[in-house]
Amino acid sequence: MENQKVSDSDLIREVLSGNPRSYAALLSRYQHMVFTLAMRMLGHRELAEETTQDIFVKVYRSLRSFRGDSKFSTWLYRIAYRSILDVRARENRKPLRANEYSEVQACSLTGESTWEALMVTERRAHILKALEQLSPRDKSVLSLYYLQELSIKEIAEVTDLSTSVVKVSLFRARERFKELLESTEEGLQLRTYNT
Amino acid sequence: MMESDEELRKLLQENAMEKAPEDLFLRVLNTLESDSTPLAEHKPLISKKGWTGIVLGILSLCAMVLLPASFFEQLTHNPVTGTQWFHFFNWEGIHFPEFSKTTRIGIMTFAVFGLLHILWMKQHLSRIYK
Repeated sequence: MENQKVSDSDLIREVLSGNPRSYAALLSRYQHMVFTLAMRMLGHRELAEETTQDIFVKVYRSLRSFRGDSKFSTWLYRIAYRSILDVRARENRKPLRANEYSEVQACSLTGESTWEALMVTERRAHILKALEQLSPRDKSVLSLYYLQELSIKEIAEVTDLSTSVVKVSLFRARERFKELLESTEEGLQLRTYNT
Repeated sequence: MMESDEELRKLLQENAMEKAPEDLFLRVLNTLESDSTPLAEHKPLISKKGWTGIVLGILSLCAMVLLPASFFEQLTHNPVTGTQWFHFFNWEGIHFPEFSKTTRIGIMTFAVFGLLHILWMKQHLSRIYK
């Protein structure tokens, strides 16, 4: 809570003036967001963990090159986005949906095994499945807009796309996601009725 | 099923957000502590000296093209306008060609294009660097 009172630029100033511990505050502020972006774009937990770790190390090392032209979060997401794209290209592996599923299933078995919990878990799995089916660009644009809450302009800065391309991608991703979600929800409802 | 953007945002935030593993925080801090590499200093891609050289080069190219050959010949022959070091070189052996108007415009365009290209390259490289 206390960290929220100190602005990002103040924390960066502290890190650069020789107090590396202030970086911990920045790290705790953004770690979940960057990890979410990595998870959504890579679809693999272990890989997303490694990538997030590398991103934060890279950000720390290049902190002096942050000139404050944009918000720190935009700069951070830009590095994160680039790094995730590099990892995707390097690994060249397809998103391992099974990995997430097994995890979701495990949660439902170890947690409260009530009907509601099961439904929530299954619903989440369907939403993630729909997200996974989107193209990499649509997935990242959707994630940056709805999860990271970046503006169109900021997404354009992060992804190096023009604002009009971002708008079109966002519109297309939204429509495709709704379509996929509705089709999987029909499946979900059918399965619910059968059991 | 989702009517508004807000509903979609809520749906995604409730279901597609991830929590970073608890040890990630410590792992990053341990990596940073174990590595004593100093924070990278930001260095401009083209230094001030580099910029001065580029600008002087382009200005001299423009001067060569825009000023008539007679100006340079006068400069080397006239002891009042020509300084001592000017005569240190064998300027008389150099023949300044008289360019046609089209050639001048062509060379000027080339010089301006070169400058713009350098500026664009600088911006592009600094974007990659960022």
